[in-house]
Amino acid sequence: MTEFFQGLGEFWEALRAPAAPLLRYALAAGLIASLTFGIVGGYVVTRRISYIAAAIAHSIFAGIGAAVFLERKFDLAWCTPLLGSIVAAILSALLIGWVSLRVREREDTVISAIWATGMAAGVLFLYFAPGPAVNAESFIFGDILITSRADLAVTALLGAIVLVTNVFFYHRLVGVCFDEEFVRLRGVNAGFLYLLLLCLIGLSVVLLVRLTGIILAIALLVLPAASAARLGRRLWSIMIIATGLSMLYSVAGLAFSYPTQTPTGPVVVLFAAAGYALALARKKAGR
Amino acid sequence: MSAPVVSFTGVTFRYGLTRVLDGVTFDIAPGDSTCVIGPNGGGKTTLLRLILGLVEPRAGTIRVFGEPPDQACRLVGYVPQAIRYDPLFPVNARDIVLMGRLDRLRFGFFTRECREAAMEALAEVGLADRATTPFSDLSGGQRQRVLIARALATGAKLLLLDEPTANIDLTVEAQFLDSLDRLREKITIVLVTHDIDLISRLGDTVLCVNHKVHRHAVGDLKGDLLREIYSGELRLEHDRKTRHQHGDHSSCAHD
Repeated sequence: MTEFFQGLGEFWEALRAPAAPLLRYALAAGLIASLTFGIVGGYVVTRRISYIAAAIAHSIFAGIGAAVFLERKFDLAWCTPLLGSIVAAILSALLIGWVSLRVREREDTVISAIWATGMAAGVLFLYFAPGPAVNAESFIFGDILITSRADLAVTALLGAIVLVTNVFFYHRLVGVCFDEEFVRLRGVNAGFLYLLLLCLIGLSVVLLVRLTGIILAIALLVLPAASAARLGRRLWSIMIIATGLSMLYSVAGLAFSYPTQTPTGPVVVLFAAAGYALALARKKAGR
Repeated sequence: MSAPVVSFTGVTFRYGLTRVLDGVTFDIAPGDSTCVIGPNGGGKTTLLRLILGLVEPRAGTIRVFGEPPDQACRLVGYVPQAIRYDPLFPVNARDIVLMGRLDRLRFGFFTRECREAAMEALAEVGLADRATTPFSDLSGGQRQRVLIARALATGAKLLLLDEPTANIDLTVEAQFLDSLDRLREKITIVLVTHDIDLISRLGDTVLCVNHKVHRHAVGDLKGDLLREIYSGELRLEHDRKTRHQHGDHSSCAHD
């Protein structure tokens, strides 16, 4: 126990060390991304489309693999895994949305196909990428401690896009989540709004993959919002509570994983799961 | 004579090879309260969806306020059954009613006029004091009335209701019917129902839909006539209050 608290002290010192900014970048990335997770997680939980978010997360692996392959094969320095993951997330979001709007009865099949195909394509792209073998573990399990200044800038940019879009489209997105048909009858383009929502989910998942990896991404999108849904009575309040919880879990995860030298992503997810269990218990006790 | 609110001329509709409506012709006059009855699968809900422009006919012409349905849909308020919504969705009554003004947002926000219209609509259905109550805390009848308020907030001139009393208990049904009673003086109402009490209380006209449409005055609606038209297929909820008082809780009875 004493060692743990000593480690916390080291964590605090490391945060303040001017020569080692990585931990600060990681913490800032976690806090900024939390805003995105809180907002988008609110929609995902209330619209009950976490399976779509999971499919998008897994499809990102294809984008990462393709970016690494193209970068090495054709020497395209600008073709980064982050860019690949953004492109893959948006494409799979649009494809799932199109299928959902046009051929609803095949939605689950297509989502499963995108889920599996994304992983398979990613593995093959990385296998055929020239040069030394690629360590896929950081993509699958995430590693927030390798966040660079550029990553932080991209995180802030994506967070700003999600925030501004949410402010401008909030009422319409709530309408679509509650009753898509009614929104369409009011002459509002409900199809566009649904695709927009899925693209926001895609962008959030890109940030999540950075923090927790592909496999655990969905947990941090769903668990804080699901906990918040047990505390808040309106969607905007759920988003605010979920953002706060995500920030708390990110800080706690980093603070715990740094001294114990455990992987940050899984620790953050376990904190989120514990928070959800507490929210469930609180609700039951309140009845 | 004023132009009809809804006009069907020779309308045919099929789902694949399944015939739903076959050469249907009828008009609904302004201010009329029209009850749509008929056996399951007879085409009642399809009739509403055609008026709303959610589906297109294979043949024939539909006009709503003199325009094709997809162009008139802003003048039409649609009230589906409340049971189809997620009761845990985190919105309050006013949030839902404001959805009726989603086409009038300014820079993504509701204007003061929108908020006032929402409160007026809630007052119209007797729920002004429940504006901030979460949807999950409302009773079935209150939820149904919130959905009516949402339709009214659109500024609709025609209200379509799909089985509005199907999932509300008798204790709140009276309040719900009072709300509809007030509205029928101001707006044209078309409601799909199996509830014969509702028909006798609110209906001016009855459309009997079973692939074809027969139009009758409410006073002409007798069991013999229904049996003649539908060969005994028609099922109506009959005098629910009486059966409730006698402890019979079955939801339907053959007329």
